[in-house]
Amino acid sequence: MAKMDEGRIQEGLRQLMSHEPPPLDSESARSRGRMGAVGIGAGTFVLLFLVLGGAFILDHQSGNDTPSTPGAASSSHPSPEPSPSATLSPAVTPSPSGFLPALGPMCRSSQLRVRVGIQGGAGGNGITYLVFTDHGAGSCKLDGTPTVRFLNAHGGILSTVRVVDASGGYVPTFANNGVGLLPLADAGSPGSNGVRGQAALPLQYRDGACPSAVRQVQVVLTTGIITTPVAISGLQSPDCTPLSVVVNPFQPADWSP
Amino acid sequence: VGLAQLVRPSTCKPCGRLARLNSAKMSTMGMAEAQRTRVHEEVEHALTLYGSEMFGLAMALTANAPDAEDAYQTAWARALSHWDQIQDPVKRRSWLASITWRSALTIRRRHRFVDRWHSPLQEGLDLSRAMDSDPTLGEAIARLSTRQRAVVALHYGHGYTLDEVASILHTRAGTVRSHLSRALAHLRLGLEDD
Repeated sequence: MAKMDEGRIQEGLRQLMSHEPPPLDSESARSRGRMGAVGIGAGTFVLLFLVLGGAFILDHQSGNDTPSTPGAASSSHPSPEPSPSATLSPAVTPSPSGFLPALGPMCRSSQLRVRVGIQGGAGGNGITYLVFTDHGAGSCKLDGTPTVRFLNAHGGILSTVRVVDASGGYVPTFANNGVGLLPLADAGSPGSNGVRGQAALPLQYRDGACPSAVRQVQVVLTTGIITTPVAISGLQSPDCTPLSVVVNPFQPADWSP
Repeated sequence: VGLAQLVRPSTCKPCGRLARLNSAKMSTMGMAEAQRTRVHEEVEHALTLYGSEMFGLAMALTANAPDAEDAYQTAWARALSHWDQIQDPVKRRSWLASITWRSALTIRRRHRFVDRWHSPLQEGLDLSRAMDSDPTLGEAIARLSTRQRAVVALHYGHGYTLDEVASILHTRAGTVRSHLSRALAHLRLGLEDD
């Protein structure tokens, strides 16, 4: 390789290394061509699977005494009853977020349990996650941003919380119009205590921003109200500004805070 | 643009990467306040110093913009999670390059199935677009193997010696020399066609 070409490579790559990088939380614009290829590939695979699967089931239904022919799988035959061995995949409704399944109806307050998860923060910000676990018989979903009330020790409402129904605040969050509670890896196992899934509700606030001691938090769902004891240190400072807490939408939570 | 985006209001759309960044940031929540502040400041500083370089490396390694962004962001999330593994600031640059390399390699492997339908020409277009002053060179580099691209980018783009490149890629110096020699031969052919 001539020195001139090495210089050319060096120059070209140095230019490549000096581009402005993308923001850390941006969503990459994956090329349509690639996604299209994936779609075509997946579509072909699914179609092939259905055709072969259908032919296989029909073949089994017709019994061994009847020789199977390609015509046996034609649509002119009446639809066979579902075979006991043939399991149908549950229909999955795509969620607005696109990566989590939207499962079942809205969660009833009676099937949910709530506890206080991770509490932390930095740079003058505090964050408390309320973790909702589904103990009902079926899967359910939580959506949007609920109304949250902070109560004192006597159950009195302390102040109105500023609700932000969008991604935002200290921690990046997902806006949602309904996502299924994230099924846990051990959901249904003996050690999971009947938990089918869980979601978290992030409460974000400025440290030292509350006039009174918060003892309970109340979450108002469309299907009922859930109250849980909570101690938020940042909200119990004696010299604080008016209460202002950002309530984010429900978030999937696959960790165990 | 920087680490602050991990801790300030974000309009990020749902994606696996966001979950990774979120969990990476959450991993620093367990630190003491002073330590967390120091780590965030150091990462912010490193992002300013090496952000462009790391993204350029990711672009050279993956040869297409979406994968480069994935690799770049995954690399920062990993770096943030394991920041205190490297105490010596002098070694941070090569450590970050190594993380970027591994992130890019993971993404390339994950997309191997998809790439069967993916024309290499598209990758050439992405890289030549990024190297707009010499698009032919971009196309020629895109036709190299991932490891050859890594050696060329680290040696010529970052200015590392071949021994340093070997250390970053966790391979032997002889292997690196072999990759470089083959890469240059391929590039020579590609550039002669120009």
